[in-house]
Amino acid sequence: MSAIIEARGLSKNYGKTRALDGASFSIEEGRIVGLIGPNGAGKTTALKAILGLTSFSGELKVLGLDPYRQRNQLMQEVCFVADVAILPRWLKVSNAVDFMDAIHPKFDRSRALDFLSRTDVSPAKKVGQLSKGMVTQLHLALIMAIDARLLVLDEPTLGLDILYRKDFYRALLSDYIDEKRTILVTTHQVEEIEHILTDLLFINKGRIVLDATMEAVAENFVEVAVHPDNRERAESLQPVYEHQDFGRSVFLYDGIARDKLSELGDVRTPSVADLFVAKVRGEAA
Amino acid sequence: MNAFAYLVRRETWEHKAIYRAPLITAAVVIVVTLLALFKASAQGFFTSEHVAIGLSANVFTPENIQVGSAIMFGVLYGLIFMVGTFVAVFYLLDCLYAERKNRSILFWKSLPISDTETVLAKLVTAGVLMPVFVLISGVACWLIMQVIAAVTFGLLGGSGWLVLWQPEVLFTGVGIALKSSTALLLWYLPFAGWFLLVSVWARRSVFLWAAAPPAIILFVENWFGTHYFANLLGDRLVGFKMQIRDSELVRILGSGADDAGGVALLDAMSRIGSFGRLFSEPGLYGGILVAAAFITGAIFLRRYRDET
Repeated sequence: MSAIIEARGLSKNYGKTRALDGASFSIEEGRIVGLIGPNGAGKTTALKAILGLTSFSGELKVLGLDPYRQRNQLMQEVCFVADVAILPRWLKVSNAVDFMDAIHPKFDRSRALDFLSRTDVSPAKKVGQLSKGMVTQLHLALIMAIDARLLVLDEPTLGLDILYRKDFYRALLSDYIDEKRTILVTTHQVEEIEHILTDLLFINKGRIVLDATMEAVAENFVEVAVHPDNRERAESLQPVYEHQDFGRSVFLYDGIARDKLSELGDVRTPSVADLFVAKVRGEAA
Repeated sequence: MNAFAYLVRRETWEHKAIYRAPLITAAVVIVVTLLALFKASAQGFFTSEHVAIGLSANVFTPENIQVGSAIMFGVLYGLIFMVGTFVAVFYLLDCLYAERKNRSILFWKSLPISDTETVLAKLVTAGVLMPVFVLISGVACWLIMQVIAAVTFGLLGGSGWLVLWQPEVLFTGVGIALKSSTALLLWYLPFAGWFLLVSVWARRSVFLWAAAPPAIILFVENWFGTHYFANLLGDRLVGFKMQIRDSELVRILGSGADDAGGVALLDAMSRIGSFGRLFSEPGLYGGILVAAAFITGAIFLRRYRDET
């Protein structure tokens, strides 16, 4: 397996604000990676650096290229949907497909039309006449018809209702994903995508605080709702994080055997959202 | 169709005025002419008697009719060209500003189109496609006016065919139009480059940003008592007119066109856009260099500026 993205000591300052503070990570081919962090953690800056939209210091290679200097070459193989990458209102749906077909060497017209035919998006309409959900469907249809090696999704479902959000990820899962394609996705609705992710990257204050596969997360992280009598024993095992849930203390452990913990109380695998809170709050503490 | 041609085509989807403005101007001219004609004939300003008098007094000779047709071509094309220039200036100032204002820039930037191609597509749209639409509209307008004139003349007792059939005017006129619009494009290229640069750079009020820097330079220079920039700007703006002033056309028009005839007039007009003098003008090359600097700046800014 080869690394699609390789970042070492990635840093970026905006004036006195340190948006990225020496972030290091690597993403392998065929992985579906969730980049998750609180607002202002450096997610967008990291994506912009990866897409060659901003300068940075440190080392960064995307598909073996320097994204800032070799952006034109990179964009042949990479596509992205950002919540701020808006389709212009004057663009007609059929024109959008024609345009992509003409300018993108890896665009498959029939795939885009096939995908659109399964939505309510009418080819004769302009973007300005479509609902926000339909515009996202159109954007996704255009992007999914590109045979790209790396797809970057930055809050792609922001502002959409739950039906469109479900459709979006279902389409992505059933029509797009294969072992050659790598996807990097950020979202606030992490519970909606955790079942499609293969890897997690947590970012906080410009640094990577967790870089693990989903299997490793399920294996290593255990959450225990501890019985009050076992509290002292639970604390002695050095939990990563503690919070209160329905009056009981819930402890999160990293790398401690399940059977040992099950003596303390109810054991479960933490959700990505719980793990995220634990990691980000744990860092702060 | 190749990718670059599609980039230019895309501009006509977004900025419909590029082809609508010349066509609408042509349509308005035709409608106004027809209305005026009906009104004139209803009030007896122009009747078969007038035509008969004109014919007997040798006013409607084939030469004079050709001159009339040539002047009509020049006036119609000139009018539509002015409208087109106006639209092109607005377009150049808006094109790279609009994509940031409507926040579609990151969509365009997600595609494998370089910033050089994008900016050059805008320049080609204003500098090549726009003049082509102007020429098509101008020729169409002239042809319809020819038909209107021929039918009117024919109905009033003259020879409609004599008025209608003007291939020489058409071919010479199109030739002049192509030459002069190319010459004008090259001469005024620095302005196009400047507008593109402002369009990429300004975060708001593109018109103010287009006008303010030259105005400030003029003001400051005036304060210091020099006029280098003022002279430079003035020469650029009116320089093309200078070339016309002492041309053959003015001499012929000044001496009266009666014995020169339509072909001589067209011949003289063809010298307006004469490349010979333009290409020996060092200012042309200086201007192209300045334009290249502005355009490179626009490409560079679009490529490396960190949006959001």
